[in-house]
Amino acid sequence: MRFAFTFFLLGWASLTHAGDKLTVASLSTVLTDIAQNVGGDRVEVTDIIKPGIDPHDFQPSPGDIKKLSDAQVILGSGLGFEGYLDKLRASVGRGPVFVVVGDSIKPIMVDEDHAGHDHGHSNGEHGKMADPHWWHSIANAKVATRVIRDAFVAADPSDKAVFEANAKVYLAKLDELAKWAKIEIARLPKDRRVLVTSHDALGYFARDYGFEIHPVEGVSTGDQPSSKRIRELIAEIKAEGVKAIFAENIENPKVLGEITKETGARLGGTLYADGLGTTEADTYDAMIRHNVQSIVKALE
Amino acid sequence: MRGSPLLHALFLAVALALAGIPVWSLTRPHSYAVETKAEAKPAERLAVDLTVTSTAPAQVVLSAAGQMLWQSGAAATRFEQALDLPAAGCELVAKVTWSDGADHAARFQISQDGETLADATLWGESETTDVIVLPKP
Repeated sequence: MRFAFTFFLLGWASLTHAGDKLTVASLSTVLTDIAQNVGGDRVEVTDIIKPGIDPHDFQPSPGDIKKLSDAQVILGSGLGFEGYLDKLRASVGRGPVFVVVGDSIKPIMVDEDHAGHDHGHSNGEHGKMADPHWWHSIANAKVATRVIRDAFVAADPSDKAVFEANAKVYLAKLDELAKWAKIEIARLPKDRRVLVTSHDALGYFARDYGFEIHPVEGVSTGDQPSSKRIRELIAEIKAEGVKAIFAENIENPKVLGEITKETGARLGGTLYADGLGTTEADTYDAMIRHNVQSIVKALE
Repeated sequence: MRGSPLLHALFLAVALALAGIPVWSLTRPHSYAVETKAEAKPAERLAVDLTVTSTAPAQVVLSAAGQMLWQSGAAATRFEQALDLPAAGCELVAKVTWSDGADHAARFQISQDGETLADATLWGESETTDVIVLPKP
């Protein structure tokens, strides 16, 4: 009888534990994917920002704030990408733990007048701000994986072994992705590594692979290019002999269409700059592969 | 209104033509005086020596910017080859194949006049591909 009771208690405890997943809310499609890889079936991730939505324009609704308040861990990109983050901290109270990955990333600093007004993170250095699009460096995605692993372990130490094992597998996958990207991009001669994009989101990619960037807009998609900027860009494209220019999945490519007419460069395809897509770039791995393949194919 | 109507018409035509000059200047298609890269002089080249040593007989293929640069032919544990590369630096894609399926390593040393420009070791099982960065000397 005593044995049966002990057996019942153990079984009940096991069932309770199995259903007791760590609840995570993510403000970035990239972080949602990394969190699912690290957490596996031991986390329940709610994606506040859905694939294909422009995070530059996003403001959390009361319904989003309720979902965020109910989570144990909130994941944010940081470096000023979520301009609403400070207000959000005050709104959700002390329950959830905020994990801001950008706090652990060494940022690229860009000119402030080249960026949006409500976007990016000023570090006090006059006229400079952090480029928040850190996920375009695979090395930074590895940093994010470790940050998320450590946050999950701190929030739910009972699943430490699972989170560590999953993170190890995902880090190996990222190493493989980084090697693949390096080999693919090596197909492009250095003088062809010039990217003309809708907005200035690929700075980390450019740094890692030796590209020069000519953005139509600043760091935020909200920045509108002046006619002077477009004239300058047309001159730069002609001078550099750029073969192709790139649109983004959440952008209106009308301005780029005008530039292609003036310069003779062609549209090289659509890049995923601010997060994941719904079909061809629905994971971080797929997004990087899509962007790299599009760039190499258009410029080689 | 005195004077010849013909003269008036002539004055009007001249005045319209003069007024049209700034309008034409503002609205004509602009041409930018830019020098394209196509007109640039050919890139300078750099003669280097490549030495490959492998822990087991291997076949090696080397390419740069999507073009095959050199392939070893028959499997061996050592190759020496002269290469002509862009002086501005480049990224070489090295593919090594070993026939026995075991873990092996191949070392690539690239030098010019005895000075080492790149030294990289590639590890793999049966086959490996990686990038060797050759910086500007």
